[in-house]
Amino acid sequence: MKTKIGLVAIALLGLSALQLLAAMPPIGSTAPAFTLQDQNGNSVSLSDYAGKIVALEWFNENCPIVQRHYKAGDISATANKYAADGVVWLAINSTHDTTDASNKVAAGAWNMNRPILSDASGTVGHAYGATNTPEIFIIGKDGKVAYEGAIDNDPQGDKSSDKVNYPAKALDEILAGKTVSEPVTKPYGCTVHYAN
Amino acid sequence: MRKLTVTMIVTCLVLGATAIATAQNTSDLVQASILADASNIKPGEPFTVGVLLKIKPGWHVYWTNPGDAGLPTRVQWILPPGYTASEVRFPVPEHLDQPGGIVCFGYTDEVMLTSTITPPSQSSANDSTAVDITAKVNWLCCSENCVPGKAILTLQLITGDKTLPDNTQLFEQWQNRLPTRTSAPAAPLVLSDSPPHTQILTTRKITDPKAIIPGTVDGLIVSVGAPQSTATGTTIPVSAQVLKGQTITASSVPVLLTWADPDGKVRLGEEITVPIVGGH
Repeated sequence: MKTKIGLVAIALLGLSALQLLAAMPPIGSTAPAFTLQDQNGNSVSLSDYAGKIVALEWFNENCPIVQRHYKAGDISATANKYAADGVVWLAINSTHDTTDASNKVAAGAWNMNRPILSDASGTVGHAYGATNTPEIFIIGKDGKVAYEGAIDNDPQGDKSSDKVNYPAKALDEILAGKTVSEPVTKPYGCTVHYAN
Repeated sequence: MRKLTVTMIVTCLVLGATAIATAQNTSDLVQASILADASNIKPGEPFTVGVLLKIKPGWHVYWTNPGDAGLPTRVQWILPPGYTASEVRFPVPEHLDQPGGIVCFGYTDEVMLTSTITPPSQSSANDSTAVDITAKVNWLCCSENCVPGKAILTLQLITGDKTLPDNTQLFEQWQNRLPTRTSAPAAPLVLSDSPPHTQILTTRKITDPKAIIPGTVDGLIVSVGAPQSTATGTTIPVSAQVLKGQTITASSVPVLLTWADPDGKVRLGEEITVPIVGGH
């Protein structure tokens, strides 16, 4: 929907540089396929999880916003909670100099019992239009993008009330067979440090 | 330049895991200080305070809208009873192009964020009473990596029967870097259009025009295209995407048109208000 609107707008107005989110796959479109290697050298493909709900988390262990969330433990708590419902949670590192070894260190340091996929070329990051770490994409059982955006509504990390865990909210809705009520939010965090 | 920095606490994030790269000390990256355009202030007479951030070469901090990534720099004032502060004013930002087509908006070298402070007109205080103006400042400073920083800065000023100017040149310099605001009407963004879109037309003839949105509008993603300069002026395409499940209460969206200063060193700008129709 979004890209369609974006394309119409480009056609109508000669827009050359949409500022936000324009590169992200539209909600309801088929999630771009990928095969990447995890921190233990295993090959992981999105198609391995056909028929399952998959959350993709853009990750960079050196980003202080990511560090803040891992220190608080909220991302792992969300991933672990929904693993019980069969939700697959994959971290993807599109930082240009990431390696399996550095991802293994991060996984160990933060007890991440899930794959961290190395995308040093940035191909998968570009296919999803990921710009921030952290940034979340949720793919429904039908293989279509159901949520994309921020990890929560607390960019500065100082909210005590009114905090919304967007991925948890979206997953609750998907698991209940409902439509995701807030499918797109503006992500925040560090810039994904792409190779190009 | 007189600085009255009474306290300055700079902290940096403590990492949870030693195996992860250690962050640089944020005070090496950003030096924060608080200043006013007056050393003595008078009841009821507004003055300006500024938070000056000096940034290490190669690093940047962010504007109100950080762009594709990053976090806005924030200033919160803690004032004596009866004192009020205007909104925080941000100078026209630079475009910070990152690999992968990511564009951020922010500042390199240095930036001063300012507010107008108005003391109560009837001060119960006697002459020569010292008052504390405190700024709580948060920023994210990035280069190849990012390091969050914060500072609590307090400035002590003396109240009396007249205002004594201070730091005049510095405040003038940063005043000139603020966007001007135009009262020129812009065609509205009609939310029932598919997609909502409009164009801003200005008569400005400028070099290297760029358009950006200063913040976010709840329920909307507003996009601005590259401004087109012609013989008669500059056109800025604006479009929006209505976010499902969110309520739009804003009645307008500001668009900042920026351009290169004739001497090429800084960017200048004009804020144009685009009305929003049909969101309520």
